[in-house]
Amino acid sequence: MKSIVVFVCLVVTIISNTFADKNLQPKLVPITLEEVAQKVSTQSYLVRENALRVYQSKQKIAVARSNLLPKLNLWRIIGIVYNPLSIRDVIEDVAPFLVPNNWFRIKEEKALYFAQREGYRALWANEIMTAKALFLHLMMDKALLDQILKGQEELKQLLIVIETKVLFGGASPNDSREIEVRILGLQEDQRSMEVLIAEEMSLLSYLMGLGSDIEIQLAPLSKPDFSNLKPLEAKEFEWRAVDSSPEVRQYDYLLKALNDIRKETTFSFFGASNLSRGAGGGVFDHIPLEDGISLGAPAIQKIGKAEKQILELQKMGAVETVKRNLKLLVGNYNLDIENYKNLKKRVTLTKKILDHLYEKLNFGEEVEPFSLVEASRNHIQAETAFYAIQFRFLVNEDKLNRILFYKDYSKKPNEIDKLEEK
Amino acid sequence: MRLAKFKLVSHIFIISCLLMTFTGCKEMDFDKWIESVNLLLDKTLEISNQAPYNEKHYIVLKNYFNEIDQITLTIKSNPKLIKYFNSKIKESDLESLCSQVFISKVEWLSIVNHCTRNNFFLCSEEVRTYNETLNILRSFLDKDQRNRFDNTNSCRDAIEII
Repeated sequence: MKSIVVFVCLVVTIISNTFADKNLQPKLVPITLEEVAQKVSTQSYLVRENALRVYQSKQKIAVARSNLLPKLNLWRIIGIVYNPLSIRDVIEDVAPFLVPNNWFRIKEEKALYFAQREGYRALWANEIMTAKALFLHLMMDKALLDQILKGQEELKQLLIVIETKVLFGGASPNDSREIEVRILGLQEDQRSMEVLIAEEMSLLSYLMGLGSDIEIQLAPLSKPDFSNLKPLEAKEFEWRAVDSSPEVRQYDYLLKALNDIRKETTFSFFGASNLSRGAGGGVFDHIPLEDGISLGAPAIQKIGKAEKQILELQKMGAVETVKRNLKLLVGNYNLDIENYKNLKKRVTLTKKILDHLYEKLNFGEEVEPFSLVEASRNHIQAETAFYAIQFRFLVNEDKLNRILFYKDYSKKPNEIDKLEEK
Repeated sequence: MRLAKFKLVSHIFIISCLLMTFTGCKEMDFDKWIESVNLLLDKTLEISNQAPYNEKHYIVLKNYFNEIDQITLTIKSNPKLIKYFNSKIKESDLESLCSQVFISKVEWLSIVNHCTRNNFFLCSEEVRTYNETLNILRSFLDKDQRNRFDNTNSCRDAIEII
């Protein structure tokens, strides 16, 4: 009887453990660099939230348009009997198209919608760029981790050789201690790198809008060979960068909207539009608007004029920022192209030095332990720098694509269209 | 009775006026459009070999290629225009129309070449996607008009069918 109870308990434990493990195991999803852009476009929380804001803004145009059609309010009609002066309110209800400001409001809403859409495009592109850069950083950190492990292996081999030499009096005990210290250092680097990779993985997964039960696995990336590329000139790219910049375009639309807001002041004699101006995030809420012409009208016009100057200045600032960022990016891109050949050669030379020292050691020749350690460290450093330049080049290339709105960024973010289809 | 007759006549008058206005407008628009695109094309051809391009050149290129892009988007977004577009193509001398409106493939490739640095593109995106745009425009044509288009030298020289 006892054995049956024990057997049943054992079976239940095994089964429950198996199911529990399956439920706890995260789903493993392989991700390529191309998929990162696509996933951020369609699944990122921030991108989706802002697409909905743009959608709201577009619907505001429809509200402004419908505001031109007659509305019937029975209580206001009855009110005329008691107060004939309230007929003005009824005119605004029955013939709102006679109020010029309602027409201006449609134009404003359209311009503000386009401005918001440009803002969304900038945010969408920045999110893609951040996620892609993170993917590339992760790949680089993984390559560096491999380098650290490789370095540890090399030093451990070296430690065996030096310890043997110490036994036979060919080296001092300090030499072997020195190597041990370096191995311990690399072990610390390994642990830090593993934590960093886990953090970056989690952040990338969040940027792509994936659930916490999903674990991503990065698909390998072919390393670029850019030895044949020529350095670029930033001046040649300025036009495209400024022309396609959503940050600059946004100001063009805001200036258009402001023109109509200024017209509203001029025509306020015919009544104010009762539609809220909050579509563009309340960007012009601080410009006062009166229901009817008053002595404050010239001052309101001056506020509008100053607002136009502010926007023009902000636009100039945005253009300047784009140009400066472009110059910096092109500078970094050119630096990588120029350094590429050097670093490639550095890897080959340090490898040759290390191989030569090992050869000497194998033939029983005298080799300074310190020079072996130094040669090994130089080779690891050269390889690390070569990896870093390759990934940095890919990041800079993608940043240039972002500023020029090229490749992944030339496609239209289609979340807004999808919302309209619903 | 008299009132009913008056109403009928007035309705016919208003409808025919509207029809005349709309058809007149469309024809005027199409001819005017060809004229304006032809002007843009001439300017583009004038600067196409003046590489390296500067800001003025980029704007000239954008104006022409953007016009082709926009007409394609307009037709795509309005199915009624596809029918109208086909009827206008049917009436037109395609040899002259294509040479007035479309830049040749050879010229376009030369512009694309001048606009390319390493893996980047300096000119506006419409320049790069011109051939894809032309293919979309061609797809709006019905079978007969597409055959005519494919068999016309100046049209065939402008496009690489995908």
